[in-house]
Amino acid sequence: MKFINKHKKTFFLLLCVVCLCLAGITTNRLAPSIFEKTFGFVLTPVQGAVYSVGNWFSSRFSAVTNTDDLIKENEEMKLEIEKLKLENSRIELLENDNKKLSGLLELSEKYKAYGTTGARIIGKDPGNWYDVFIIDKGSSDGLAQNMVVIADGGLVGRIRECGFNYSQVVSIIDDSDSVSAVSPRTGDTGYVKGDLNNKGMCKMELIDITSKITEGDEITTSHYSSVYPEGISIGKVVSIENASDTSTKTAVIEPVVDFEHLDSVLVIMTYIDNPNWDETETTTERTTEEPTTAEEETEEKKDEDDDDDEAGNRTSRSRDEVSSGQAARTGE
Amino acid sequence: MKYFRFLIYFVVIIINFIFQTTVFEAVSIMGIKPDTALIIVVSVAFIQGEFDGIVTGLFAGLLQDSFFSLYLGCHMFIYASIAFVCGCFFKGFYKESFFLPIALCAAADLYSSLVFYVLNILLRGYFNILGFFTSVMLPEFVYTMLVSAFIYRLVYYVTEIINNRFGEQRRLF
Repeated sequence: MKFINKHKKTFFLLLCVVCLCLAGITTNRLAPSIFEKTFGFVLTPVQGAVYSVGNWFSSRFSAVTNTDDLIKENEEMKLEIEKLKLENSRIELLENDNKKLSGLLELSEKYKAYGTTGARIIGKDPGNWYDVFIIDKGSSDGLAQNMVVIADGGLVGRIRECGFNYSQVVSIIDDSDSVSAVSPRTGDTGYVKGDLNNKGMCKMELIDITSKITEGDEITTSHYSSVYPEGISIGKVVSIENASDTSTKTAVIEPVVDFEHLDSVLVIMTYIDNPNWDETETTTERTTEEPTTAEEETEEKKDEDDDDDEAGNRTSRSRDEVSSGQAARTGE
Repeated sequence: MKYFRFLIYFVVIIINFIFQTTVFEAVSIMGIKPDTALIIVVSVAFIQGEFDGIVTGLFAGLLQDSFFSLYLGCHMFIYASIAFVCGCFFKGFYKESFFLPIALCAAADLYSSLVFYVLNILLRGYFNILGFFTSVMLPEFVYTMLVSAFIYRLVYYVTEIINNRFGEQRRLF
């Protein structure tokens, strides 16, 4: 104490140097450091408890104040469910068709089904600059760095840091992270990142000046990214302006996800070819294709097909038909 | 028992951190939340001296950095430097008055957002500081100043208990 009081300036300089060194060491780290591990392990259960208590109170409070709204919303949602059901059955037919046709063309499946696991948000960044939050699952539940997080059918972000029982998620409205994006209608690509001047919105940068992208266009993730799978909805274009360098355009995008009231998310853990995937079969590896097993499977299915053909049960196995077709062609 | 007070500071900081990350979403106005960790650091430095302040600040900064930052050290540096300056006001000022701690908190918050802006935002190429000043810094400055009166009072009670139980009596003159 006395030593410190005597050499105040030296002490302060030393402190600055220590902070600087720490910053240098910990930038671009791959695994969480010892502080993060310990704090995370100890504090996240408490945070989870406090967060859920707070949520309980706020939800009770809002339930009391907005009963009329809730009834109205419920009716609207019922209508929407009817609509979606209708659409869903149509899409199912289309998917079957698509599988058949793409099998004929020997295309691999473009939009894979995802194996997801649910997680709750238990803490949000106390600062006002970034939009980072913490979820209550970590490496002990099979999560890993760079896994993609979705909610409400839209993109939320990715896992930046994965601790034992918690994960740090950086959201797309944070400007320190960007997503490679595309407008499916016009095919224009760009990068989506958070907008610091316009909180809660994203901006899509580096759109070609000649592009015909307009307000209301949907923006999804593109196939360029090695982290984000293709075809996840990001948001809708609100306005477009020419960037300062005048050779590109910038679009303001309103995210699909309501980040203000987000409290549970889905983490994409595996990409799988079988849509009837069981959540209990979760694997930690993110393998997309396994050539050897795939071949074996097609052979097995071919055998099954021969039996099935005799039974004449054609409608339920359009998928198997395709694979048997492929196997037959490769045999030729 | 002499250093028992640090344990209490740490507990206060941890409780504050848990509240900041969980239920503060409910008290945010237009997405802006007050920086209560900073108020606690300023208060401790002002009431107990710079050494206590710096230790509290380093811990608060480490906690925030380890959960929410790209790298460790940014908030540690900000809070420690704030505690260092606020410790200069430790001698020769009445702790019972409200005006100085509130002014210190306000100044510290401006300094903190400015340093954070320079270290994290400016270096990535965002130059319109005026836009950030009106959208983030100014609302946070006002909100933190308003909240600081209450938090300072709380920290004052806690330090009074610490000094009565564990420490030597503070001498004003």
